[in-house]
Amino acid sequence: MKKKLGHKSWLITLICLLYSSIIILLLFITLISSFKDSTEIVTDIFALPSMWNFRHYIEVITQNHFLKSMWNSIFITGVSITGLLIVSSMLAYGYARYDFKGKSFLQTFILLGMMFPIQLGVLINYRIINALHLVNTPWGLILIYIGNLSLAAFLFMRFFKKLPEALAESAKIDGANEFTIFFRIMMPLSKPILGTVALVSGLTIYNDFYMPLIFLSGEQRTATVMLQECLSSFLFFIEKVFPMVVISVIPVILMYLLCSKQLIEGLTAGAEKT
Amino acid sequence: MGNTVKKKKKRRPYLWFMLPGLIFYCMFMIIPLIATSFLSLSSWDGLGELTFTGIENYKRLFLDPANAATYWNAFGNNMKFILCEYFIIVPIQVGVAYMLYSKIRWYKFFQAIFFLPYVLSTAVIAFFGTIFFNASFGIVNKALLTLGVSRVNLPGWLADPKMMFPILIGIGIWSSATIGMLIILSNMKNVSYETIESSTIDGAGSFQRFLYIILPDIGPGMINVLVLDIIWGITLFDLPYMLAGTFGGMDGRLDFVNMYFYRIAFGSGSMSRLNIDLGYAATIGTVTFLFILLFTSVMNFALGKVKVWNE
Repeated sequence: MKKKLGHKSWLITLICLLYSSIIILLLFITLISSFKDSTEIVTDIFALPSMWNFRHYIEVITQNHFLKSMWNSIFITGVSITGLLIVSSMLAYGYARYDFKGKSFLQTFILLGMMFPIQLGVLINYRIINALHLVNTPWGLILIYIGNLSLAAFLFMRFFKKLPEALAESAKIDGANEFTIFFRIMMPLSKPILGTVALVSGLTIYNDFYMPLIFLSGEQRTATVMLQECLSSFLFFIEKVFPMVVISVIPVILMYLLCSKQLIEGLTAGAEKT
Repeated sequence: MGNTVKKKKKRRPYLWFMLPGLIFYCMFMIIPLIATSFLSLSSWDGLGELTFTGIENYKRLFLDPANAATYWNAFGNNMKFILCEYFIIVPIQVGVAYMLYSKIRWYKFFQAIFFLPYVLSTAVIAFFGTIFFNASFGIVNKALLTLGVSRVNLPGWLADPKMMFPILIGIGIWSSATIGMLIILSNMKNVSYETIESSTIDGAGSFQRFLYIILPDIGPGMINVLVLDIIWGITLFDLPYMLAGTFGGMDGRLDFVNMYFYRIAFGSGSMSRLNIDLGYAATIGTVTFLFILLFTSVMNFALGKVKVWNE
């Protein structure tokens, strides 16, 4: 039925196709160029490599220790997400399941963080992390990322408000305490929302540039920062930048292909309320 | 909110649930925000004594010739960016969202392509920008050469100061318009199907349907997009930093408030640690903070109005 809606104009399809082919061309060029030497790239960016060698991949890994940076990114993302999921789901559950004074104020208070990006507090955050002796360690960043919990808490709040109360009540009659109810009953029910939050926040953290730029250097750099540093002297690093991009993009593209539907759901839900 | 729990014991379990989150949130989000605005009233290099200076930093930011010029140039660029968002990016977002909404041919495939840049980091986006627009070997110029444009007439793209800003906007559309597009699309999907169906019976074409039925109905969602655009526009950092460097390129054409903040707060290149002035940096941050606060309040007020109209 719904198919009647909408235009099937070939012009629009054509424009979209053109656009899509540019994007696919970009990805393709990046992939083939990662096998080329710098002179080959500069003389003709469209040409296929004269020989397919993995030399630059090996250089990037052995000389630039790019895998270390990748590991830093993944480690920071993984630990932050775990912390964020625990802390923000508990916060949202406490908020959604109980009535108490100042509840609506609390909601506004928590949503404030969605209005003001973490960059605005970075001066003081730097002092705090410095005082904890965690500058240039992954842990400093992890603490900040967990503190930036507004979006995650908001997504959980929406979810818990919809869960039927009877579930918790019946468990309570069976003698389960509040925390058992939360971890044994609510958490397993929350799998879809856990996935969504992990996806949306994980992506933001993995791709973040500003915070790692300020807090990490040398060995501790994340993949984005290292990539940007090579990019800033592009011509010098030209044959290394391409393999780096390919390596750093693989996890996100995979994730995108596997769970784009969930990702889009999470993003939309998070943006509906400001 | 009917979630009452009989409080048999006088304990408050919700506190224990919320405490860890609130501690993290206050410590790394709220306190830094508030403390920054206090810091803006003082002078501090991060190591020595902190001295209270009142509104001295604000005077320096807005009035002192040497500093104000840089700040106003950057701020002007932020405003230019926000205007471009409103008048170029938002219409494109609406248009593309409507295309996807009306299920053009192969829309699932196109949707996947349109949303792809969202998952890429800005560094990767800037990389694509570079290989696309590089003057000597970039894809566009290579293609133009093949099409017979002579080497002398090739545009300089990123090397040409005049073209930097348009390129920034172009890459911005490609990479970051996604979120707004999603919000608009999901709002369109909420427009009741019956309204649309009856309009089809009345003989409304797809463009009329768009203009008279869908556009008014997505109003509240649009406000969200506009608010997010303000926040994005005033805190812009990654992309111009990567495309043009710490100082925003030639004549500071891609210099933005947040980049100025970064230079003052963390120093860079020729500006060594000696120039770091945290009080002054905090002032820049606080002005941005107030800017967001002001505009989101205005927008929320407008949102209230829109809701009234729709009832």
